[in-house]
Amino acid sequence: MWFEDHKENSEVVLATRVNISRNIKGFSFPVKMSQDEKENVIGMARQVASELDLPFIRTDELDDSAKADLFNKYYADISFMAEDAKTAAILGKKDGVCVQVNYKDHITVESLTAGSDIRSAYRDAEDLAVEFEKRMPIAFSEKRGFLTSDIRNVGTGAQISALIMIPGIMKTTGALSVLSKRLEKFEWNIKPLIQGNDVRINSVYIITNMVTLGVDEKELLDRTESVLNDVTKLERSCRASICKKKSAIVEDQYYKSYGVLRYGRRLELPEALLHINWLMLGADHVKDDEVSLSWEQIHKLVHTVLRRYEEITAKGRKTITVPRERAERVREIVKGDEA
Amino acid sequence: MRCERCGGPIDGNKIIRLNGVTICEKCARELRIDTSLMGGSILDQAFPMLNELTNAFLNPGPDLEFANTKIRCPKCGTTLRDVESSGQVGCIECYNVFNETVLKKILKSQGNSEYKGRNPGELTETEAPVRPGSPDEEKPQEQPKPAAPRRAKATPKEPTKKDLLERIKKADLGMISDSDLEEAMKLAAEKEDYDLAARFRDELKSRKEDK
Repeated sequence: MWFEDHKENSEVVLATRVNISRNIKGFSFPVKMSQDEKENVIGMARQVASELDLPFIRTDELDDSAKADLFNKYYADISFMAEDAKTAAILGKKDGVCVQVNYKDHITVESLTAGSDIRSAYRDAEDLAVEFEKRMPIAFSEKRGFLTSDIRNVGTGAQISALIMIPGIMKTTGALSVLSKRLEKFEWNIKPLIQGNDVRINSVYIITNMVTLGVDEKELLDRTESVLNDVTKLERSCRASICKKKSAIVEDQYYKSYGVLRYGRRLELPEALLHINWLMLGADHVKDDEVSLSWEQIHKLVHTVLRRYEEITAKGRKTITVPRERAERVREIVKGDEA
Repeated sequence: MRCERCGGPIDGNKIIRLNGVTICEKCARELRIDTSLMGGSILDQAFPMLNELTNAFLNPGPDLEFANTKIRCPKCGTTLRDVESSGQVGCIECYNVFNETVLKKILKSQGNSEYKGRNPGELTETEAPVRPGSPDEEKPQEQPKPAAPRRAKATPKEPTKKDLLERIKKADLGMISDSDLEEAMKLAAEKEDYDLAARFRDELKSRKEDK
């Protein structure tokens, strides 16, 4: 899967996502669309998909395992695949690229990449978006740009966000506020992925660009590149400083965390994240002669723990089986190299 | 962190979350959300009804228009209040209906509400400028502040010419260089302000005679 690769800056930037939203003239936006209108849009999208020779999937025809596949790859949210949603997905030729039909906007092209390579992610998204623009009457105004259902997105219609894991910044006093201020200058927003007050586990954040007007796409990409480089630079220096000043603690926690993840039989989400934090922190600094854990494994661990269709839809059996299943998956990943 | 409604900065200890949207204290007040109730299940309600009604009776200020459900898009039925609370519009027509009310305000929060992106069907040049990461001495200092590039873009060639004319009109002619004066004369003639053009011409003429 696309997120397992170890790419530029991916020890900090877990994933970079570009969403390009487009709407078709003559239809209300999905939130106000009738069922017939939704069917029409699905029909138009299916036509484009067949012209481009891309797989087209109606979400109401998917079984649970197919839904899980889309969700776990970040291609679709649970609400997107609800029974009466009348939505569809088109898979791109490249892993990490897909199109959501009738979600928040008629067409949302999504491109995901591991690490911070925003230019290639944007290129993939735009190439596909342009194909739709050429084949459909697009809602566009000279003054406002591309019209989207969310007014904060009008203009370029391009929302760029990144999933960052910053245990070093979180463990360094004042570093988070330095990062927030820096992001503010670029007009980016930062929020924790998991709401909660426990700083020890709250190291996964989503950062998102807030400006879609007054800047062109090129400037947007330049700014994104600067933002992602800044985040990476700050996190790396925090990790290095912690590992230098508190090397004994980091080493101890690194091995303990490895032990828990490698042999634990029940893992709650906060516990799993706490230990992954230590693995990330020490990965490049602890000389692990006995433990061999690659960045690819760590990435797989993070995503397996953070995003799992089976866990979200588990509900009733959550308390009993989910932590056990999570621990099993985690063990498999950590064990990987030893096998 | 910034408010997702007005775009303004939020104090670290005054973060209010409403239906997954982060807003500042001021916006929370405008939306009539009693922040003292935040933190419980009330979080899931966009507008706590009792609180809203009490506020409306006690303080019928001009902000009340945000609670208006009468301003409605004729095509899709979206109300002003829907747009205010969710940030979403229902159709293209909404952009005209709510243009004068909430849209202007929200779009203004983006600083410059002018569209500068590409047209449909066009491709963007995505190649990186010649800096693969290391020479971050100059560029990041220019790029962090979106205000700076905007200002630079807001004064392209046309406005500088107009500015020149305005500046020279008000200035002491003796302080203006010959080339600027010549340029201003041409501009004044183009604008059919012949009196002004004649003034500049006379000044230039007298300078030549002095030489």
